[in-house]
Amino acid sequence: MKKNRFLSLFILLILIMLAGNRQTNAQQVVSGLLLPKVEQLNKGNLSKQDLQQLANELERIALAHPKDWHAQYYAAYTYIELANHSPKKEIDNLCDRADEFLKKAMLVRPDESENYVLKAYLLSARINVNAMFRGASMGRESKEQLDLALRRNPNNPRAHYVRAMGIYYTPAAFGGGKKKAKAHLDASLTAYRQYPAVSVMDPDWGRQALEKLLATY
Amino acid sequence: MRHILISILLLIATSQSAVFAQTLIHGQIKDRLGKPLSGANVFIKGSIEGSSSDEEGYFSFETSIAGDTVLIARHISMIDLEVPIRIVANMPALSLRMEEKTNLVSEVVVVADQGMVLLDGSRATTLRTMDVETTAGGDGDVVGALQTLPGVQQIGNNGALFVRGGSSEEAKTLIDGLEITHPYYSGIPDIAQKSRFSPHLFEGITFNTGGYSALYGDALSSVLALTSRDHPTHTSTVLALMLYGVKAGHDYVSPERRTSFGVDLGYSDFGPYFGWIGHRTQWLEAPVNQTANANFRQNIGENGLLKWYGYGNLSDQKALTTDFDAAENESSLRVKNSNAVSLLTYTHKLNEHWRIYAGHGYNDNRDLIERPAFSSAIRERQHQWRLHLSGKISDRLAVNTGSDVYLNQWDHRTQLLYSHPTQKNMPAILDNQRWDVWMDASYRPLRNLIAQLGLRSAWNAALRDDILIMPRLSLTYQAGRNAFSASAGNYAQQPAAQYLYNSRVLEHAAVTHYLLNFQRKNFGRTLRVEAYYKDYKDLMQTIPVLNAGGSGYARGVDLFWRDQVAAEGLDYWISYSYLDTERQYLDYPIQTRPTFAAPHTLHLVAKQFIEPIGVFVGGSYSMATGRPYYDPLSSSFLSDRTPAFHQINLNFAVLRKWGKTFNTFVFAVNNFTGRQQIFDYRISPDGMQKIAVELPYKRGFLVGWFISIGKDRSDEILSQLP
Repeated sequence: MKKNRFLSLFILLILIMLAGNRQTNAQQVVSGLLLPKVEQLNKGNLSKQDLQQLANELERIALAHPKDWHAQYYAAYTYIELANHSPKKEIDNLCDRADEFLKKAMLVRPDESENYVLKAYLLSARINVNAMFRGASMGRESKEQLDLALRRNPNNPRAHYVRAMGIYYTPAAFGGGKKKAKAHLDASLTAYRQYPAVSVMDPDWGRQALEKLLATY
Repeated sequence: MRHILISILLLIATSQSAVFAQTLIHGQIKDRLGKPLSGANVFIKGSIEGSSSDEEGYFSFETSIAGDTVLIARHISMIDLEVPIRIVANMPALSLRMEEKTNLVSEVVVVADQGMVLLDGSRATTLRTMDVETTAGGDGDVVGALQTLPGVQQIGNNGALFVRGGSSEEAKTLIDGLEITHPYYSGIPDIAQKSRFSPHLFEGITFNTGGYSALYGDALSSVLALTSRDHPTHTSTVLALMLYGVKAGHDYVSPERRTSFGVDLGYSDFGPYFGWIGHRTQWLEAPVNQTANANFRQNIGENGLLKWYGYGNLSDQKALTTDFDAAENESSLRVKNSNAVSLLTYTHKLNEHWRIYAGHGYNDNRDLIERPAFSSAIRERQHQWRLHLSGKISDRLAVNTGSDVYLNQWDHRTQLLYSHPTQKNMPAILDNQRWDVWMDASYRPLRNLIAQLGLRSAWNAALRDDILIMPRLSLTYQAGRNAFSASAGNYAQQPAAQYLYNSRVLEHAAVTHYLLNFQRKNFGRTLRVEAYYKDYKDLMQTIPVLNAGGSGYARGVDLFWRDQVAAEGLDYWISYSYLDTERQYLDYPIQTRPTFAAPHTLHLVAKQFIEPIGVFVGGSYSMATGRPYYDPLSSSFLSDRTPAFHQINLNFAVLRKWGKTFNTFVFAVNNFTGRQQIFDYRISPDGMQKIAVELPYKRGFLVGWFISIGKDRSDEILSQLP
């Protein structure tokens, strides 16, 4: 009997461990799925086909794991990158898709600074469809999103970069320009340098593109 | 003991993903027309097992899932597809078809708030503030820009809208669902007057040239529905300096964006400007204008929005004009006007699908017209109450219903200045009321098909006819980017106020519209072709006695092509209108083409924005064939034609942002070539004198500097031209 009680306890323990394991398992499964994609994204230099492929893969992960912030975030990010590599007539549809996942990311982590940066980045992609009509209103909206991002994390280097990039591409006549952007680009590089190393899964984009912009001076 | 261990092992085994047999799922994915779709995401619902389709639309992936499940296909420009499938060994190739996302038909069902209605969205033309401001020759005027669209006649000596063979009275202007009785400035005859309202007040400009729904009444030819702006995003100040006047405005918005208000004040004196451009009119006192605009918006609770808009304008002008009755063939004419408008609306969201709107509109217009021999004082007032309930009963059925009640007071007094003292002129005073009740249902029996049925009833105390019932019907079918629609409907309108004093002699003027429309919208490109037939009856006639026996018809074709993506920053459109119309009304002795109808009208409008240097260049060319004019010596009535009209307009703007100010410098030339433009002739009763009614200047120049302080108005690139 004593043996039996011990055995029951043992089984119970195993069951508890298994149950706990299942939870972390789910996260590990998602991380395991996401990690190669994230590494691929961070490596950069992706063609439109690569991005389309990645967007679809991340979309499947995001749809299957709606509570996983990283999955939603990267699905949205990849669609925006794809929009940046696509002809104007596809941009809005791609951005709508990005918005779908970004909204879910915001539900999972409402206070995440990166969400707002991504929203601003998305708007800057949409401006490209028709800068004349959209520049002023969406540019303003984009800036508001960056303010929200910086309020949550004043050191977020991506928030600084997206702002600097916006200024870089805004014509001097409208208060932007290459010359004016220089100081902002330098400041965002400093922000990247000072930003503590993030975990492999956390957002880590923008620095390469920033360096490319800086190389044009 | 042993089977406990076995069960543990089993438990562990099942908690890990077991290796099952893999099944290959493959096939091809295409759109409706059989074109392969690349980049589609094909996967099993709830799993990550799937793949992307290649350039030829082929996809394939292996799955461990078996049995009944759902396959999903997603593509950015297609509607998501879900197909139930049963996964078995050796799956045959799947053939999937996806439907294109549509926007036209969905627009038809959307019922927007603030009394603005997109129900006619598939046929009506919508313009943005920017479109208005950047149209060369439009002079920053909503109506000026609309005149470059098909269906609108080019009448150079009148600024109002003449649509598809209809006179200017047949075109109605509404703001937030409420009628504006005097949408144009008052002025001396034969000089085109602008519309009173700046395009900056509106976020939606919807122009409907026929076949409109039951929501609109008392308009035979067209409805211009303007929707005022919501809360601005920032507090801002604007200043405008023009050759003939100044304008200043301030918008305030509370930090939570629940309250906002704005005021705009303007003063203009055209004297020095008219001197500079060599205006041909013999001004005794060039027009002087004082204008005030005010608005207020307040959120009420979570679901209510109260809006008020107020407008006031005073203008005065005096000129020597042709008058064959006067001894000198010329006599002075003074036109003094005051106009006030108040629009109060409240919109409440009852729930996700239902909305209620209540509005009160008040218009008060006074004209004082002074000739040497007499003076007339005319005051016209209108109160309008409008109720509108809109909502969705199901995804297939949307309903709009409401009523309009109008109270009018008209007061016309003429004073003969040299009459015998015993000869007193009685004032003509009339109080009138009108009641309209309407309802409209949009039903969607198929995904691509929408049927809209409306009924509007109208009753007018001053008219002889009983309650009018006007059915309106339209069918829209959408196939991909193409939409076809057919519509027909009855429309009625009361005759002009000055004819209603002889109580209950007249009837509503009536017209039946028949339309066929084809529209193709493809990212940044729009093609629209519309053929119409209009059958007019009960038009007012003034000979031999006042009666409602006039009739007529109008038929034609409108073509519109717009391309906003041909080149970076380029936007152009081409519009062509063919019009065949005749009518017998007013004092026309026979049925004939009226003075405001030209068979062919063409417009080319192009705009190029050179973003890197912040410069905007635009141009337009307009052509219209000759229109009839009255020659008393002519053998048949209105058989003579004016020369054709050709005009080139140019505009140019430089945009600069300095610190917190956004500056726009505008330079525009109207009638660039200086061509003589003859719109009409005035001929003395004996036929001895013939005076051409011309464009009153050789070239019109506009120069302006517009400054926005604060950010909100920076999207008002090319700010308000006159």
